[in-house]
Amino acid sequence: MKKTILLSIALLAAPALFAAEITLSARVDRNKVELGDTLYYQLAFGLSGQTQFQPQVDTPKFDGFQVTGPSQAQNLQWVNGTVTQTITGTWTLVPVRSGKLTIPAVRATLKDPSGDKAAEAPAITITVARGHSFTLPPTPTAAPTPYGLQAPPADEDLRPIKPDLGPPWLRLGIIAAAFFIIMGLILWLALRPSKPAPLPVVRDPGQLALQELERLRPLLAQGREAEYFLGAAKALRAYLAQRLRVDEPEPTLFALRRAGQKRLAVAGQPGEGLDACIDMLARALYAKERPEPKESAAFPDQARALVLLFESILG
Amino acid sequence: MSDKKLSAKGKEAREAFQQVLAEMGKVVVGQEEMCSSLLLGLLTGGHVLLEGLPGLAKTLAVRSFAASLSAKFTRIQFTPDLLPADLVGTRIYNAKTGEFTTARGPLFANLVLADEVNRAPAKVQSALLEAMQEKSITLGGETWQLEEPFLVLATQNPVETEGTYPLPEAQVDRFLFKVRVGYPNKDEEYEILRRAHGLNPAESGKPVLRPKQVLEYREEVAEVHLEDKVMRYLVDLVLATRRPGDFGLDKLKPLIQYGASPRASLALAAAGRAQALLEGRGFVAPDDVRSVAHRVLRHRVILSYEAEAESMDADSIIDQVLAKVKVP
Repeated sequence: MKKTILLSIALLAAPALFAAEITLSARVDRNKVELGDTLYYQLAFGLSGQTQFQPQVDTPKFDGFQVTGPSQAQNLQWVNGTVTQTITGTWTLVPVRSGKLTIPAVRATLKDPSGDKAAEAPAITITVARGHSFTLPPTPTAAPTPYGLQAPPADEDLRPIKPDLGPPWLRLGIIAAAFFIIMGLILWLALRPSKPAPLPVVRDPGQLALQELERLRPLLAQGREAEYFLGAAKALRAYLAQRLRVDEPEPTLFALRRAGQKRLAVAGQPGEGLDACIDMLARALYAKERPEPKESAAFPDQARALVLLFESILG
Repeated sequence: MSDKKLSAKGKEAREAFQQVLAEMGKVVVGQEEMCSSLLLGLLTGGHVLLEGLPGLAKTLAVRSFAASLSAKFTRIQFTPDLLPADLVGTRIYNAKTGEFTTARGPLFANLVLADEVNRAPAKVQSALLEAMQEKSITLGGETWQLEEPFLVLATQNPVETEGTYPLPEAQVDRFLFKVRVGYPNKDEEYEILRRAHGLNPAESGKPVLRPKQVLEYREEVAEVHLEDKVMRYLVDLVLATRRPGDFGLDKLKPLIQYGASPRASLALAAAGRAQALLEGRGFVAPDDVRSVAHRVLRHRVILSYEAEAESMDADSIIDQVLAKVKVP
């Protein structure tokens, strides 16, 4: 690395109109790091006014650090006819030993007819603690820049140094194992046998209808005929709609009779029983004169025979 | 079919109307709904609007229906230049006697066929519909009561809208039924062709019913029992067209602009009773109400713009109502 940096500023070629002033400052992004960590050292040189002479800035000394850089940025401002130029250099430092490491003060000078100018950036002390083990990356070869500074490092060289996790196949193996374990867990959660559900009781529609008709039968003996026929109509309507697959949300008794007659005709069975049952239900539900008690008493057996007839046909 | 609870008169009425249907069947092929609608209209005193394309036997059906009744039948072809006087009649000055005499119009009949009713202007339609409602005609300061049974059977063509005067909703509401006359099926079309070629010539219907009998049978219809739960059912059907949300039909809300009027409930009850009588029952079952629901409600449910944009018609709305309202 060169001992001094020569900053060439094109604007300074013109004769001086008024006296030039220089400033120099240095800072680090943090001053407490662990061994192997990365920190950035920034040196900013400012020049206001115009001069035909070139300023000289010492190169900082980084004992105890592995150094990459500098990267260089330049800023030029015209304010009320005064030119202010700032050149900033940034070094990436990785401490190679623990303890207190000091970056010495840096000095900048400018020979000027109105009097030599000097500026100094103070020394900076970095406290380096012992950290995890690390491997230093190879030091890149810096190319000289037009301004005499080293070429800025490539982006990948500025990335923080990662801890060594061993050879790539080991890392891949760990990742693959973790993936399979997680997938296995997900599959197990999705497919694990839940609590054994109670087995559904498969109930035959005919059986259900017959049970319901038998359950209602005592109502007739109690003289609650209206209640009985309402329940019987509901049971038979549900049974016939299901067994005859009547595609109507609210099938009427007569619609069910029509569907039932078609099915009985296909099976070559008489339809009188169906007619009698539906007529009896319709009279019981909608007529002014209700069925005679004798007729009502005979109905449960008629309804039962009807269900059994359809069960024998439909299987 | 049990008809144990029908009175003797009821049975007689049923047989007579089955004969009328048989006579009509000799002339008209198929179109059972149209024929039964004419009968139900006659039984309940409700007028019938037949809507269908030309050539679907609307006029023929009405003619054969009239032929099966020994009643006075007139036919009025509605045209844009028709005047109310052409319907109700006019007063003519007799120069010899120096007095005015009344020339009665074609509305003075038992059965009036108003062919293409939407071709006449509003003034003429209004004269017809007033006679339908009041069953009387005022002419030269004198009011004439129309002879019962008085039944108007109007036809209209839904396609040719140019030069027509669509009936306003309020006036359409006065019809008991609006019957959509559709195309015949394959077998029916074949039979029509056979009859046209003289292979199976149509017999002209003979009179089987007199006006007096019709009036007696109407009394029988009024005797048909309408159980409270069936009455509530038909009211629910009508209410579902007004407040579909109350019946779990929220999706119909934006599709219906106006629901059916109370006249629809009365019409459903009357038509349900007549239907029960024709079925040979002395009581109305929900089936009777459902079988006439489309005919009674389709012209009383006014659809919104959204429904028209979705190409929905009143029949599909009524289908959804029938599928949702619980049958007692």
